[in-house]
Amino acid sequence: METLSSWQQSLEETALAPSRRTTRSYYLFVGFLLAVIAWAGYAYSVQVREGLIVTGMRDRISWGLYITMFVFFIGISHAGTLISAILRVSNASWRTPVTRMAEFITAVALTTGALFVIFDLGRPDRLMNVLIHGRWQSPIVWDVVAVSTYLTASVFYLYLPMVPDLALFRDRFSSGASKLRSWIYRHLAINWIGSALQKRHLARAISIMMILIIPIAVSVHTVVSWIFAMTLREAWNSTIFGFFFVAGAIFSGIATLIIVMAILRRVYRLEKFITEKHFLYLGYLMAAMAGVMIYANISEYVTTGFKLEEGEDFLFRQLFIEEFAPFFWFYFIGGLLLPVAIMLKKSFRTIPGVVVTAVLVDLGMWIERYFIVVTGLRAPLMPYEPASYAPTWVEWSITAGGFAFFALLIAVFVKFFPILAVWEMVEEREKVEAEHEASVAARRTEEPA
Amino acid sequence: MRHSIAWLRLLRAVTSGAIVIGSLVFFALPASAEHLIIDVATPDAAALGDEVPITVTARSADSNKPVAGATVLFYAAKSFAGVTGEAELGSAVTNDAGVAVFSITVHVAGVQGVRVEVIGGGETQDQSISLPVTVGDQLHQSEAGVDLPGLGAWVVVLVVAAAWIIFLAAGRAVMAASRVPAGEREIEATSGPSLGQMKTSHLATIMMTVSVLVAAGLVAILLRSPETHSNLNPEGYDRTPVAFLEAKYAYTGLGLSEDAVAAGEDLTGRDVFLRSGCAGCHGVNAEGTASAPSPAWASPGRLEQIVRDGSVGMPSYGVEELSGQELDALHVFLLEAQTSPIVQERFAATQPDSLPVTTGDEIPTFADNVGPILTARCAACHGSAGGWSAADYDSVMTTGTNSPVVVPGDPENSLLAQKILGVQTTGALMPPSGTLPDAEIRTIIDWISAGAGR
Ligand code: HEC
Ligand code: HEC
Repeated sequence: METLSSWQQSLEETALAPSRRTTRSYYLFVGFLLAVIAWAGYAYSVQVREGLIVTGMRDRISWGLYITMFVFFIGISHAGTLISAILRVSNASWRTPVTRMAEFITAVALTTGALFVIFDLGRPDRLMNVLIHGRWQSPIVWDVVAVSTYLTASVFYLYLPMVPDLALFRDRFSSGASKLRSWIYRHLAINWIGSALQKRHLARAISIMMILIIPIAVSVHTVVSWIFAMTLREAWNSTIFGFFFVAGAIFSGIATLIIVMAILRRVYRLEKFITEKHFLYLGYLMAAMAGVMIYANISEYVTTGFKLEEGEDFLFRQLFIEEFAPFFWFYFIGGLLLPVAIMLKKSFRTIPGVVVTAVLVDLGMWIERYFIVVTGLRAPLMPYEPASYAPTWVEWSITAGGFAFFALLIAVFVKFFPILAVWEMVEEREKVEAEHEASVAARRTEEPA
Repeated sequence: MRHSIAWLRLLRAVTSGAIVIGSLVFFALPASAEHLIIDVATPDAAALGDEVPITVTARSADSNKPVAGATVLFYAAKSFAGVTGEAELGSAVTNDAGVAVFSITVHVAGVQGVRVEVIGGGETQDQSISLPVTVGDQLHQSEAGVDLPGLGAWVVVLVVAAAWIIFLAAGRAVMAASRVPAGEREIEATSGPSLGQMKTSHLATIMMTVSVLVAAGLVAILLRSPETHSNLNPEGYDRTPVAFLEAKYAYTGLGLSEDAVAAGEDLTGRDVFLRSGCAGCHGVNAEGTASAPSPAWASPGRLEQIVRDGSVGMPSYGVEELSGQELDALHVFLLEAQTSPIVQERFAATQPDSLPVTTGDEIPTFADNVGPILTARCAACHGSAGGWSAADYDSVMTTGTNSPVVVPGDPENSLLAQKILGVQTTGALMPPSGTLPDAEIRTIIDWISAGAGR
């Protein structure tokens, strides 16, 4: 068995590697992302100049791709909360190699999601009105408060467990690194020397945040769902919307984490530390959440469908057999049933199998967000034919820009920060080894002399 | 855009079917020192939904005698979506006492303006009145929620503040961690490379300051929010006038979606009826509403005429808004609507139970018997819109496409009598929904036989 110190060394090297070497394809990738973002910037400038008329949104269907993206990204941000906080609270030992990425996805996805609310505004210069004239009875204001609280908490929660690793970077990059780098690490590492007292304080801060962030995350997605559920729309008249959105958020969060993990593992050769086991465990979690989602869907549609009031009838038609049927069935079969089926079959329980499932789940969940937003607004409230909505090139461009922005933030992050929680992994390994030694020693004493 | 036009029509429909007035003032002063003097009187106050009579008295300035037979026109000042103008409400003719009364139902709250124009004795006089209409029996006004004592913004504030205070607790722990005790620093300084040149970190302090500021901002928004909106405070309740919609129709979403067709395809009559906003005034099923009669019985000619030219309270539609083909489709739809239960039911509901019919040898008069019957049974369709009018004695005797429809003393040759008996040579049985009760038919026929007197 590899000794602890050589294992630790290879771990540290692996964690440092992305910050040390940058390949040409990395620059190409970043260049590509910047190009997409620049194009989205142009599209947005058109939208600001001409107004929302350049989008497919109109008086009756006034939410489209942007709000879909908002809900989707806020959902993805639950990756960090679940994987990191819940697994930390429940002390699941396999979590350590994946927590850092999960926490980072949380902060990045939240930033991206919040941006889309601004894109959805025809007059972004009036954004401040939410603060100036906002009132507490409004779900929109709850949302502003919940999202900004969550963003602060998740940045904090990303940062805290990173401090010892930042100190490691500070020490390793002290000579020969650029001024910027050493400046960043010196300040972010807040004098960390790993003393017992510091560890105690840090552990305290982490345990406060890991407990606090769970209710905050749940509240955030509940409030996002209330923006819909508290609007007078047949499709959104649901008491389980909060639960449904939170479950969907965790579900898509896990899927996104699996995808990001698979990419970084491949690019930065993390195979030694992120193993098939991690993918499988996350895959199981994802399948369990799929089960929850299937249950929620059936419960929702069976209760309303059994009574099938007039308005519901309209919704059921458009969702199950008319315009939105392809979307719905892709989501239900491809995004919910298939993931469970794949995880049930042993021969698919491999890394590629889990990654493919995760891609399906993310696609399915994106589509679900889309049809929740659009079908709800499509049903007419007055005696007119249903409105229609089709996103324009401006909306597609800005949506693409949103995904590119998400990827760009992750790409930049891996260049500056440790993508593996080195100290936590070392601690975990020490613990395992100590236990191993203890059991070996115990066995030895049991042996008769 | 198609549906914004439809919206506009619907709103226009609501406002233009709607009218106004109020007030006390007897305008004792002559409007002009000419030969005609007019007085306009209205009740002291009007509430939404009230029927308000406007009494106009015309007399001659020279002789101070009432002017009979003068035409009085009533106009309402309207403004909608930035456009202002006058809408004709209707007209009346002064009687022998020089008095004309015209009643309107008030549909819109706020200060309303009405102009009265009197044409008589070869000249025209007009007078404007304006008066506030209060919100009385508004059909729908939602309550501003359930008042739970003690429950307010502070609950939300408390929850949010609690979260941020816990942040601060975590922040304090970080600050504590950043303070390295002197002893430990020396030990590490020998092994750790860069510690020597480091100052105490300010990062934790900065983060905490930012957190506190954001938290304070959030709390401030929540706390002052009751000040920025007054809609939960009855004194601050000052919204745009609420339209008075006398009837509410079930929303039939699914039915519509089946009819809905993409632009460019052939529209069914029902689509046209909905899309062109007819439904807004005439009811979703063409059953008629308080502001417009059922259009179901209109002949193709009448339909085309009223749709193209408009009428009192009914907008006109040009060919670019409603093609000839669409009109045909409309007519087919309206024909079908005649037999629909809701149209029949609504028509029956507007019919009175008992009317002043005569029995035995009594000689019916217009004022006591026939007038009320015609008003109740015929006036809904036979108003001032053209064709035969059942409004009063003179119009009954003189108007109509086939006028006179009443030949005194000769029921057999009176179109009116033929039509209520169903023996007419032109058009349909009257009323179209089915023959009148025998007693009413006999009263009308007796009246014609007896010379059709006032
Ligand atoms: C703004 C409200 C309004 C709208 C919109 C409207 N109408 Fe009318 N309509 C009226 C009123 C009020 C009358 C009664 C006019 C009168 O008696 O002179 C009327 C009368 C009619 C009549 C005559 C009924 C009869 O038997 O005498 C027909 C037919 C008719 N409308 C058809 C239509 C059609 C078709 C449309 C749509 C293309 C339409 N209306 C839209 C208000 C409206
Ligand atoms: C539901 C609407 C409606 C009602 C109620 C109604 N009519 Fe008519 N009436 C029409 C229409 C439409 C026409 C034109 C088509 C026709 O002549 O059949 C018409 C035509 C007439 C004409 C011929 C008019 C002319 O200008 O030549 C007479 C007379 C008449 N009706 C009498 C009556 C009498 C009397 C009553 C009441 C007992 C009555 N109607 C009730 C719709 C109605």
